[in-house]
Amino acid sequence: MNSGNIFRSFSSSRRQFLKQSAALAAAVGVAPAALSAAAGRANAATGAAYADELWEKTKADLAGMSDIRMDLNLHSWEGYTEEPVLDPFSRQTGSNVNPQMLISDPAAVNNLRGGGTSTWDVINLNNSWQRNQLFPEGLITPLDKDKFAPLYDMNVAGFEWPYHWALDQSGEHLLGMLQRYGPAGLAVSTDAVDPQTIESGGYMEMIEGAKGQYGILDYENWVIMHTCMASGFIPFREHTADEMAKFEENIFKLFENAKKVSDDQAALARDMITGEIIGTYPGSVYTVSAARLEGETQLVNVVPAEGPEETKTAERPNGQGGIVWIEITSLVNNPNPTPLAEAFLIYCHTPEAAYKVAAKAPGTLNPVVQMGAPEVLSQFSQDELEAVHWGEEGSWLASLVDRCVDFDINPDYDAMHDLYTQAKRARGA
Amino acid sequence: MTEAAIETLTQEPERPRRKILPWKLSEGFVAALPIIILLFIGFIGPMALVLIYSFMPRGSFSIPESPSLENYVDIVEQDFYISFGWSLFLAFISVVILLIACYPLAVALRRVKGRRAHLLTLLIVAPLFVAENIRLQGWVLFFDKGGFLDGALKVVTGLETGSLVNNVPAIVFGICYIYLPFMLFPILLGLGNVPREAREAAYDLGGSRWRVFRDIELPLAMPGILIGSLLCFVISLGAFNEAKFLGKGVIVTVAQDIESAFTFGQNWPRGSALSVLMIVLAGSAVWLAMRRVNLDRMLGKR
Repeated sequence: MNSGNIFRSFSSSRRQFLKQSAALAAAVGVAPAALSAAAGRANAATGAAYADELWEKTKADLAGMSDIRMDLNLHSWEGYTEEPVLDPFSRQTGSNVNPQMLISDPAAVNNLRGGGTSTWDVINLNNSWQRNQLFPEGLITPLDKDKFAPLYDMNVAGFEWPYHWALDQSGEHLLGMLQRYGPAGLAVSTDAVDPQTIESGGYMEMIEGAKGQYGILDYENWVIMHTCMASGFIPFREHTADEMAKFEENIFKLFENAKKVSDDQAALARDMITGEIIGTYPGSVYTVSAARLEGETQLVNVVPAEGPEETKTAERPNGQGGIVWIEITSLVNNPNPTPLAEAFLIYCHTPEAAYKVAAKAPGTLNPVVQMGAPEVLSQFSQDELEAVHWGEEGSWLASLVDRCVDFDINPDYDAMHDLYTQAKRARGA
Repeated sequence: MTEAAIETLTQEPERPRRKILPWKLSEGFVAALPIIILLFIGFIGPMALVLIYSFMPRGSFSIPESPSLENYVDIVEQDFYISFGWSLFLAFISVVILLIACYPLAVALRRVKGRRAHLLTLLIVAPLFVAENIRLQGWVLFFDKGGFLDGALKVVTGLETGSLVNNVPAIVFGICYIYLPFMLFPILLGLGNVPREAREAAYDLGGSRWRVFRDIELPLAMPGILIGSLLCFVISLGAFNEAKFLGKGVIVTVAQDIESAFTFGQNWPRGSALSVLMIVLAGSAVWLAMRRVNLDRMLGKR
């Protein structure tokens, strides 16, 4: 790593970029209050105190229970599967946690469909799966709303109670708890390219303007989703034949023009640092945060300033060009449930655990919605906040998120995945 | 010698009576039964499941669906021939390179005796104790831009190599590096079938180096060469990490297609159909090779 990069973080181009990002966010209608997401809600502090109290009570209740299963089987994204998060929980409850990391949301959903409900107790997925698939199919169980709703007081603005993706379609049942989230668009090195050029030119600026100079971060479903956005429509609805044709054209162009394709975000970050590539498609806060923590603050997440026509509203005349993912953790409808599952969700809301979920995952740091609570936010160092694009009182991150549509399910995923694999193979033709 | 004595000597010794099990199964079969059951559960069972899944329609995550040929039709209609072509090419070229590299190395190792031989063998075997992807990542850090080679050269000579990964030769290098022991050791065993006396006799009879190699060494060492080649061909066909780490998306192999179908594609039936075709390809290669040679005769059993 280049220790000199710490100085680059204060370069004029970056300062200018930050200023203009904030200005752009304001221009697209982000109210100052929303930009100050870090301030969170008025009763955020109450939420954190409630989390601590609830955790203490939960531990006492667990200690008084007999004949309960003391194994917790966890199926989740990285961040929840690491020792810094799991060890204190195991130690304080005397339980044994068996974590299995996800490789993709659809794979995890199909694991549950294929009989995984007998194995897993807790499932952590990106938003929309719970509301649209898992709960209607009886694969997860609702949470005790009275007990868990007050924890939403910890959340940053935009994720307050009642939160759309955490509730079932009737709005009656609470399906899970939010924690990590992040905007996704592109990632660039400000040493190699002016981020404003990419921000204003959007995805096609990288695909066509940076031909042969960018890498594809090969998380297949995300490549597909962002190529929909690049093609001028959102992925989360059925698509016309013309739209599918546009998608096909752009996905082939994307792979043809890429210099590298890798699912190793750290390797691609290294390539950006060495100048091998100028940026990645797609890119998110989490794909560059580890490098930024090491002082490589020239790597930044950029969300296109303009989104597809259908995302443009009176409030947001430029629309939304990125996609924000929000992880939701739920209780699996296990026929042999354990109270440890609910306890784990409560534990993750204690300020110390929330911080570890955010900052102690291997190779990445992510913001958590609980950063709306001062008790959580205060645990982050300045470098960690810089790594997650926090900005002045959370304004940088909030402006990126504001330019994103919420992640959802793509009904044309199968057909698009076929085109994606064809385009990828065609690189070697 | 009396007649009785002669009769005793010429009489065939009474063979130990073979114990016949009540259900008429041979003792050998009974002894092999645990491994047969294990193979059935651990190998044939999953293979049968993969075969059945390959005829299930897209979106099936359980068996009881109407069988269909749509997966095989899709594979033919889409551009999967590209990844099959690359996998076959990589396997073929790697076997050729490994043969050229390993044969002289094996000959040299046969001639080294004592502790030096043990040391050399240990050096060749040692990398096998480190996970394949860690070793490949090591090569990426060695060859990539800003990596060890590029950085060291820049410091010493001022020249830069840039990135030497992200291309097909890098993938071939990775496969040859990973599978070298799988070619080397069978050839070493094959060379063990070449008696020094046979070579010396051939030289005494005026044979040139080339003729001794062609007519004596090569035929006698052929079982090892063949086994090494088949082993490397079949496992190279399934090369995945080499293309992923060192190729960085320059090509897609069939193994990568299979992984994509089973994970992000959530298309288990297509992944199964691709797997079946891979098994058929590998099986055909083994069958073709074995048809042309009699391994038993080569190994001296007949």
